[in-house]
Amino acid sequence: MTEPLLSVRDLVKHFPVKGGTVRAVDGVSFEVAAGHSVGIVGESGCGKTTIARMLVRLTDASAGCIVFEGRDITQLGRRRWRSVRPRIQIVFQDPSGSLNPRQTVGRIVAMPMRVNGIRPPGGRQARVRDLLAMVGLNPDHDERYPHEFSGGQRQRIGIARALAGDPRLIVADEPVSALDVSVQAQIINLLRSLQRDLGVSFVLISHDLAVVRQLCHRVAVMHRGVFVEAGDRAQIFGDPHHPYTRRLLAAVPGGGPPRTRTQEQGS
Amino acid sequence: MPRPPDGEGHVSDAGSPPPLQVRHLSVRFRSGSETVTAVDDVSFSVDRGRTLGIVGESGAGKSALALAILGLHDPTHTQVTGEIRVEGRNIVGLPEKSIRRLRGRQMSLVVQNPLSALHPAYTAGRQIGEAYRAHHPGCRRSDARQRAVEMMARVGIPDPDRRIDDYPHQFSGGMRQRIMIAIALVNAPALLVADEPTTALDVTLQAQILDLLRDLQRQHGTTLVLITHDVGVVGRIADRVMVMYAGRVAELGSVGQVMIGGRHPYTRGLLAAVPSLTGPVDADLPSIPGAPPDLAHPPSGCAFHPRCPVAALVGDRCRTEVPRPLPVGRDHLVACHLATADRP
Repeated sequence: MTEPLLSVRDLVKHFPVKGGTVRAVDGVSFEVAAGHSVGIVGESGCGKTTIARMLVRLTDASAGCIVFEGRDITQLGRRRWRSVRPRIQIVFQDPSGSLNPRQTVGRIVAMPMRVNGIRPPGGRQARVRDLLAMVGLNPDHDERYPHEFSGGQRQRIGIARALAGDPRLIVADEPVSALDVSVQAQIINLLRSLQRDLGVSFVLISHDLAVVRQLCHRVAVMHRGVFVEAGDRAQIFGDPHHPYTRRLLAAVPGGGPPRTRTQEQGS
Repeated sequence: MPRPPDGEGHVSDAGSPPPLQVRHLSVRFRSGSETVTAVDDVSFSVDRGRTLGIVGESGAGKSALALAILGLHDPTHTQVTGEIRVEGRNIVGLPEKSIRRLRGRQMSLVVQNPLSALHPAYTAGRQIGEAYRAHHPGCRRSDARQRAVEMMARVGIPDPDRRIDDYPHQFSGGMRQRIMIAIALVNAPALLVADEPTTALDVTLQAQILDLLRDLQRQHGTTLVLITHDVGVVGRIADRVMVMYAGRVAELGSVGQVMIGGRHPYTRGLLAAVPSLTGPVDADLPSIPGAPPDLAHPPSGCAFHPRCPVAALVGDRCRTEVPRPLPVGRDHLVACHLATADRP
């Protein structure tokens, strides 16, 4: 078997708090194959966002390793990490809070290229235009500011920025949960097409089981810092084993076909 | 002015008026030199003991409508026109003093974020008791306290005798929402408006709160207006559904009529766009192009026409003429030129 793009082993994050330790992530392991996507699903406080932050080193791991392209990134020095960093990008939940309001969209999207000294053939500006077109925005809008765009368009800007470093892995932390339903579907489809066309891998962090199901080949269900169940999409959604997974699935409103009261009450 | 049929205006049980009847309601905000019409000529009513789900995306006018029903808009910035009849009495234009006598007793509100709606420095028991005393001026403190304990038990807060003296921060998110519901229901109002009551909660808690609302409603015969962006939530507990778009009613009917047999292109698009636990995963989700409009500059004619897959079939009319909600079936209204073109 070929080596996975990302291999996470026994990852731990403990936060010291008054009178003890919060075991936010308490030993999780998973792998992401090139061109595949893995969803981590769970309720608030389960530790899923902490994993996302550790994958891009916004938070340091307490223990365990994160092997990306064969190297444990938790052990990399600053310089080495910088050479890897463009290939692991993150997309955040709040598209407004994660875009600098004083920078034009062109400048925002070019940022990973500037920071990492990437000089694409044809120049950065041309690359920015290509990226904007790729995520479904008008390339001529590169001189506009974030507030001139709708929520869904801002999330597209965030995705274009993530793509600017030519990533192999995109960590997406609740990428659609702040968006309107009709716009959510557009962004889900965009992420799918990017995976198809660019072969990029995703780690999708979400509380929304249906979104994870739409996007991910493999799914890990997280509860209180650990994975209670992990498996293929078909297994998790079709034949869940762990009671917590079953409880989550049962709680999704509209999980089945909509129940009609008319039938129930005969009115 | 052509008046759309009141559709739902049928009189419910034994000739008493429905607990909520809204007619030609508009809510306009003045912001700088612009006027934003958040709710635009909306009419509907809800039968006693039933649940109307109001679904829409951002800017649909859902929350402006909720605030109007509670008489909570500030008249210095907001113009409310039309009629809102709660238990037969029109509350539009009533002085605040009169509305305050009705609010909490005839109609109550549960909002999305209980932490900002609850007072952090008052105990749960005091806040529930105060809501009771506001409408029972002669009531003794000890009676109000007893009433608060009862309400906490009724909304499923364990160990209410002990927890009554706890402060909001000592409760979990789901328990705080239960306290909000206890406050809203302590005076047994005829009408409860719940604006995204479960949106801030985890999915397992969401289900519990929806079940609680439904149980309480059945016990007390409360009429419920549930406002949400989540079509799954509506399918779970509503009897009837109103889909709103850009401040107007797009479609109104029973859960089955709207969620299975929806006739408005927006209703269909919205439902299809929701990822499900059972649909196909190898194909893209059907999506609606574009985004909900900016209400300061709404599109002409049908507000949905720039995003509509069938507007081209109808021609200019969608661009020039606002479609009115018209009946396409029994108690089923659709505001779409195409859907209502061939109606009798």
